[in-house]
Amino acid sequence: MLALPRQPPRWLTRWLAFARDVWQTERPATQQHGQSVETIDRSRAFEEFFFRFERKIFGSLWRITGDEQAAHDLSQETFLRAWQHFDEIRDRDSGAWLFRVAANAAFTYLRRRSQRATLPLDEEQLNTRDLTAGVIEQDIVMRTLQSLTPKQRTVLVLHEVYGLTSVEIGQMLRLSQTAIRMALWRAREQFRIHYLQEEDA
Amino acid sequence: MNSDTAQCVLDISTEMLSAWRSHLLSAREQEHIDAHILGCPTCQRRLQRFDRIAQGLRTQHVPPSGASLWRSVQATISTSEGRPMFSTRKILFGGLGAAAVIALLVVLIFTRLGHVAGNQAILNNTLIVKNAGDLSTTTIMRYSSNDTSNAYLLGLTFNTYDGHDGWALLPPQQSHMVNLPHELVPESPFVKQVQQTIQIVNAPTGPYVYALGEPAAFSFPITAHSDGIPLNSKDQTGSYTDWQAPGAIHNGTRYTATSYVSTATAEQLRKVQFPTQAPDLYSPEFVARYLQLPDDLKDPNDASVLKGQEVIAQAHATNMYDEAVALIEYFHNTFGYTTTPGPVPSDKDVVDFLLTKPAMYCTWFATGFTMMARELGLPARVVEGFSPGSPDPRQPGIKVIKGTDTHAWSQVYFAGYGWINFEPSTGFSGPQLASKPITSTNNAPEPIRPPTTQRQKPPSSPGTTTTPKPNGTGATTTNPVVEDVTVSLSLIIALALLAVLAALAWWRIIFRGLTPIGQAFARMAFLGRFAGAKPLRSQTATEYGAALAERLPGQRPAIEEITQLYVLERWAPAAPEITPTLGERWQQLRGALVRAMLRRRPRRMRSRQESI
Repeated sequence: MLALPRQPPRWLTRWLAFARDVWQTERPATQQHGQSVETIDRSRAFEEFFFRFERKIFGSLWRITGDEQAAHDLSQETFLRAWQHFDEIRDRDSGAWLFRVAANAAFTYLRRRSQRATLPLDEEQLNTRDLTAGVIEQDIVMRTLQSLTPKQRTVLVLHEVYGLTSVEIGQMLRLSQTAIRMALWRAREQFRIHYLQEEDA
Repeated sequence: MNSDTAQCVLDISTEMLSAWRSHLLSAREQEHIDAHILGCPTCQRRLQRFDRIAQGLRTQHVPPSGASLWRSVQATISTSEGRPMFSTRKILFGGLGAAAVIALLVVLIFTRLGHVAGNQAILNNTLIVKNAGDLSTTTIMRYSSNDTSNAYLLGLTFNTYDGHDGWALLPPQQSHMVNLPHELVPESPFVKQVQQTIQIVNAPTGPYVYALGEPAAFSFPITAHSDGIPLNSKDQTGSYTDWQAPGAIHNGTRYTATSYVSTATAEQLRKVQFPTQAPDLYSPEFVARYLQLPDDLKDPNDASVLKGQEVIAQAHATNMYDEAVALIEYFHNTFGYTTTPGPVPSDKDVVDFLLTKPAMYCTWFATGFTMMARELGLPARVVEGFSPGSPDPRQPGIKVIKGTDTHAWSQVYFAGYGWINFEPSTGFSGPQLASKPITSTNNAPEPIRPPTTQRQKPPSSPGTTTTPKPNGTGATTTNPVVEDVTVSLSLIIALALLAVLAALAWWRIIFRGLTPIGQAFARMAFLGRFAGAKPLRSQTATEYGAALAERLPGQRPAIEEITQLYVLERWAPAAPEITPTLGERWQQLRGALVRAMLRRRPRRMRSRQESI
């Protein structure tokens, strides 16, 4: 029959002591003190990485979602993932990893938000606004962007603003080159009509 | 289609141009348009539009994000959620969880299989004729007694054979239980009282208690079961079938027992008539039960029937006793003994099959003998218990029973003398029964008391007046370990460990999606609910903080700090910096909240006090 010894075995005592140490040393409040050189190096590298791509990621998300708060949240999510997988990101210079995560996060977000109608393009309202020309133009660009489908918008923004090639975008969003070609053309047509105010023939 | 297209000499569409601009055309198309564009003002104009669109997009004024975004990213990654996947802590708690699960499984396995693995004495209310299995040499019990007849320790009896490999006790004897703290009176006056002290070392399975010969009284109240089949017209109780303690027998249990060993002589038994000759001595129910045969053995031309008749004819046996002895002799002279006779084929006439084997195991011998005795008209049954064991070389007077002493043998009922033991197994000396004729000069049957019709004696003080001196039973050398307690304790510890781990995991993931400040506030409100300050829908965060501070005045600074940070984070335009003391403050507050929670009276007590 199973008979437990009366005294806990030494390995158990050691384990418990170890558990206590880990519990105490790894508390969030005290972990600032006990960080290893490796951890500090990793943190520094990540900080540099963050500030290198933060504007691009936030900007692209802001343009794709059209919502500042959402862009903030999604950027945070993107960089948090980057931190978790920081050691696995091979190409830290191009930012492709970040764009991919951000674009997919945006897609997920937009799918959830899809019940909400995108902003209507009300030309009349735009023209009657008493705003400076620059602000109006900014507003038109944003509204035109939001009138596109998420796919068109994402492809256009990543390509035109952040200079990603169609091949890169295709890999990132799992789209064919034909799909990208169509998305780009439709997006440009929309911009030609609404932003450049050209009449369709 | 665009109006510009008409003016382009090559009739290049805007779509084509758009694809060209984004390098989406084949190399040849790309070169072709490269060359064309330089000379086509329409296409150039259209490309300029694309540039303007790109320009418009690029010059959008993106709202500022850097500092606040960095702050929130940093805050999230500084908590353990944002830490690398394989932290020491995760490994540690994962390991602990796995250890707890393994411990739980081990404990469960041990509780289920403990008896099998440990003591190898598996005795229960059915008997299967099969190989011995791994009979261990573990000591089951140690005992001392004043018995000189090499009596076996009886525990269980079986009366119904299924024709294949199983024995059972029918009818279910529970309806005939006799709760007796006092002595059971033996059926026959021709018995000798035997006293014994038994020390259990590794308890056999089940609640059964054992004693030499036929058990009669134990030093604690027991339940004796009977088959409820009257032996004759005067009897009401029937045959005792087993003797059970109120609960499981634990290792280290020590009991004294009084029992009876038959002193009937061969001469006496030879005079006992067959049930067919004297129907008044055996009740019809008794005859039906103890002469029960499976259908295949009822055939008068069955090999075993013919063999039995041949055996008794050769021995010139004409009475029950001589016939039984002749069968015993036949078994001893014909078969060897083995603990692994092999399985009983499902389609075989079992007793005949047994007779074809060169060697058998005790349950096979007992089954073969009992069935062949019944074929000859002898009421018989199979019983289980222990052979007398071997003397302890270190302690004279003490006998040691091991797992290998677990045994099955047979009993034949002789009217007026009760159940008499017979040992069909080759190689076993058997109890020194009347089968070895006892001469009337040196061992005259001296009835202890006259036969009684009322077999239950009024309560007396059993085992106290006649208990032999323990004579140093193994109490000092054996170490009684109360395994049941150990096992339940380990089970409880393992379960508690699992519960604690589950609670810790739950506490860590419950507010996972929040910022550190949000987490601190949410946890504060969560614990506060149980510490006597329930958050109300109507309360703002500040109001709740004030209410909680009222409840825990000592923690006011911590509560206010967390509330303030939360309000700022939630509603101020810029998120606040996390104060370095937040973690420490929260830990203090958490302790205070838990203490307040524990100090709080349960609801039932509160309401009672209020009603008073």
